[in-house]
Amino acid sequence: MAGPTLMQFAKGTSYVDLNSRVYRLVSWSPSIPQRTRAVIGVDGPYAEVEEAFEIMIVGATESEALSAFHALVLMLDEAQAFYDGVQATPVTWRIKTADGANILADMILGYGSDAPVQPSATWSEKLRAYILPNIVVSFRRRGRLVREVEETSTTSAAAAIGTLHSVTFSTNADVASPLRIQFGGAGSFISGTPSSVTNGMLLVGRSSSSFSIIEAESMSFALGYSSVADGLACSGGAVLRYTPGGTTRAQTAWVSATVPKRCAIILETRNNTAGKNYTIDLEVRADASTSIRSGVEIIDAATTLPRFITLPPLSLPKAGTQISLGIQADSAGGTLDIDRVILLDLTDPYAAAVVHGAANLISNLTPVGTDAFLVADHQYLTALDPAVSFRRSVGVAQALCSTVESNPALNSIGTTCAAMLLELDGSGTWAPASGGSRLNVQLTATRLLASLTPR
Amino acid sequence: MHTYTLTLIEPTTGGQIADYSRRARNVEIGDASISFEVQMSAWEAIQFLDNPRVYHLVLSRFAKRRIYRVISPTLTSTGLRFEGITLIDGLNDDQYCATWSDDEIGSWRTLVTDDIASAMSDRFSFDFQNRLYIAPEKNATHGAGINGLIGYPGLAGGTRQLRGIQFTYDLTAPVGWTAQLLRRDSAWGSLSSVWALAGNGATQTGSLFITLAACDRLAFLLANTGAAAVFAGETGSVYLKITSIRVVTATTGLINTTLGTTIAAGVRVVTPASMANIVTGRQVTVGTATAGTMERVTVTATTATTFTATFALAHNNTDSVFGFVGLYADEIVRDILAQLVALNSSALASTTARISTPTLDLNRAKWINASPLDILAELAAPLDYVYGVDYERRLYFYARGSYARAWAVRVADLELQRPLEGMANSVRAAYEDAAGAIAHTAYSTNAASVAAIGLTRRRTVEARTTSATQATAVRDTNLTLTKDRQIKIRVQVRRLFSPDGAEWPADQAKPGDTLTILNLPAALAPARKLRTFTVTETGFNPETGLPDIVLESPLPGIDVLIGNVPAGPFRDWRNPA
Repeated sequence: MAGPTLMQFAKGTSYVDLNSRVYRLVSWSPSIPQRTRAVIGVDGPYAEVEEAFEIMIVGATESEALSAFHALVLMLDEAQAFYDGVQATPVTWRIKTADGANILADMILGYGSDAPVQPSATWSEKLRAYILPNIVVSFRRRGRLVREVEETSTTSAAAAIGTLHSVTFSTNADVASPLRIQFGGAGSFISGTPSSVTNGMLLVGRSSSSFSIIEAESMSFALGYSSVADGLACSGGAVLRYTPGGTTRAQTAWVSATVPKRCAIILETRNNTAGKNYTIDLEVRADASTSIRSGVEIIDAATTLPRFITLPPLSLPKAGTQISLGIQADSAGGTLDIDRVILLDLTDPYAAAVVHGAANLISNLTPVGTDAFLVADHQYLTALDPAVSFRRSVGVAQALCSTVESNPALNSIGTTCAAMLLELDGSGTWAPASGGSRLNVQLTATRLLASLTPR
Repeated sequence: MHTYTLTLIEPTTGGQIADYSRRARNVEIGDASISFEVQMSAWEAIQFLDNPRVYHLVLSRFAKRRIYRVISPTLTSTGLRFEGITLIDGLNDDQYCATWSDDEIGSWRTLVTDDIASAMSDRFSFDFQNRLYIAPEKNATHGAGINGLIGYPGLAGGTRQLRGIQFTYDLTAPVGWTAQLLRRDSAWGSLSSVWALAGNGATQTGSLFITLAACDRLAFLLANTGAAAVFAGETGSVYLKITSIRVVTATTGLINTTLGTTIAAGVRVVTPASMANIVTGRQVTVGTATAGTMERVTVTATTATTFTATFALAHNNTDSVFGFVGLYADEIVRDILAQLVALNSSALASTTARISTPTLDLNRAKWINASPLDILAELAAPLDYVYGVDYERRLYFYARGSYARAWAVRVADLELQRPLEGMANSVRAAYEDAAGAIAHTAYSTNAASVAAIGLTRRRTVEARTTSATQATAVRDTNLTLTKDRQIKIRVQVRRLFSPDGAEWPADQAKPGDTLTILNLPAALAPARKLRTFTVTETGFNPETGLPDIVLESPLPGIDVLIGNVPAGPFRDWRNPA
């Protein structure tokens, strides 16, 4: 029969080639992944699928046929073992529909609902002819088929940590494709200082229009607020300072902003006064009469160093055009600084905010001054879970983060991708800095172009 | 497709133990609890069973977290089942043993020679009938070193020391007799005398507020300071009587200033050195320690610099103005939190930013090895406050509805019931008076409810207090909650909207929020409360992304997600953030 020019199982450099002299594909109808609304345990918008096809094994000898049969069973057994977490090497399923087409692959997630290899009732009839007919092979896989060859795009110039970077791919991805984000470059994190990071946040969207970034000092024309120059590597050279005169909610000036209908809200803040607590919210309006407030968040007295505060996500009946912050102190006195307000569009289905905890860079990424990167890696074909780590380069020395929260299984669609890296190193600056200036990083975005069907 | 991660964290280091986002199966997520299963070998599972550490489960999306404490790892044939509840379980990490305020006569007792060698209890008559009373007995020998003593033994093993006392005294004794208040240590050892009044043959009365250097115990003394002699008077002809007594261990809300204006008796406006904490209705003690110059007056009006009161005595401008503003529940909640944070810094967050200050004075507040969870329930009840621990480990204690949000939905399925059970439109509260006798407030009846329903249903609720004011607050809160028939409702919500029509993530509804069901006639809102309901429990299905919302009292059969945590009448896990 006419079929794909390549269909095989691969475990490292070991293969079971299902379209060969020994293994012959009899029938196959590809499984198409469906969209899922699951919110835990998925790495994209599509559900896992069960794949099944029928093959026959034709050996030159009885021994060869039986060995091929055994190799097939062993491959899927090891796929299950890997999925159970006891095997180091994953098993992938690879197909190529025609000469000149790209090889597409997917990771096998162990057995499906049926036995992975089901010999027919006539298994022994033609054994003496070295043929094992009508063997049904079935397994579970992630869902999307992806090109094994990555597509990479890099920003042309390094820019300060906290800058929004955008890249353009040469190919238009028509299906959400696993995306690897890499931020870094020469000496970007380990130029002497910082030797570690305390925590960080990676924000990703389909394009720069998924972000709205407001310098908070622009909101200072209101009672209790002022714009204060700050030499600790803040963005824009100044911060919004709130000096409470009492304990009622005080509102900043309104400023123009593009506010999506549904958005995540991240604030870069610094509570300058030990023992002081503040509640803070974001108010949005689309016209002068009606406004909507987000839920409140506490800026407690845990530290006087800069930190990121995430407000509850905000939903609006229509996009907003102006924002204002509302802050309420628990007593008069003290000051609270805000550097920026960052809005991330949650109507972008591929928007993500990945939070990581502390990482020791010096002990893992020496020598100082070498390339260093923060990498959020989907590991779509290589591991069950995505990973976030600091690396000297992909695949070598890693400085693992103490925690990773919010799913780092990133995806990209279309031709563009935008990302922003927020980092803190515990030194008191608003971002890792050297000589008062934020360190520079460069964005490299890499993706595995995905497909829902063999093509 | 904005998805969560489900990670296991070692709370003391913050280090991540595992990411179960992919491996978790049969995940159930509620505002109070989480449970899921992970397929794993016994070798992997054993680390969670062999005297395991108490890990935290963190559910995270868009940098917003829900933190749960793993309480019951369970080995099954296929792996491990994790069950966690919010850090409200941190309130079970310790017990609380402290006296904050005590106005109970029964807390005092006669001291005997085993306590203090000079405490000759057999030569005095004592009684505790709503007062502390000491009187020398006729024909007994009295003199220096022969004392009648009533002591306040404090709370051995408690975390707080005595810092103040207020009382009204009545001393009737001849010259040569003395009444005193003594500071004592935890073994009744002498520390100092903080008040002394010599007998003058007449009846001397007054009210005092005395701040104390910290001590464990107190004692009132009556004694003849002269040479030993047989007391020939009738028993009761000489006595010390103490009433309206209150011992406190905090003086945060202290009024401590001077009168500022020299006045004659009568209704007077004075300008004290400080108006701090002086508000209308507050009782303050004015005068000097000299007998007959101190009185307790009630503030009837204030300005920024003055207050008005009716004075029975004349006063100098240098006279002291003392008052104990009151003990408020938030002060106790803060102290409980500090104790718990000191014990386990990785459990509850230390911030007090979500602890609000009520204005109901707690005149009796003491606990012996009590559960902090129970104490918060007790404190919240008369205030209609809610308490709990939010997803970021922060203890909250504030008025119900403070952070409530409103939602509007069209429900796919609905069942609504109005049972008569539990309804009471006429309520009184039972409490103990200062003498320990049962007392009742008057019934408070909601006329509108009686008219609407056509009958009066009475109930008496128990108020654990000696304060009529607090008991009234308990009564009124209960009446508000029970004056209408209860509502039992079951709904199925598919999508969550704010009233302005914006669709919100399903996990944003929190207990305490209100939810308006748009399918129901608008005529049912708002007075009848049959269209807008209070959210009591929330969760969401991680496989479908659909919200799981329980309104008011759930109908039988609804899965109550808080089944794993201790029950309390006013508990609420709402997370305002």
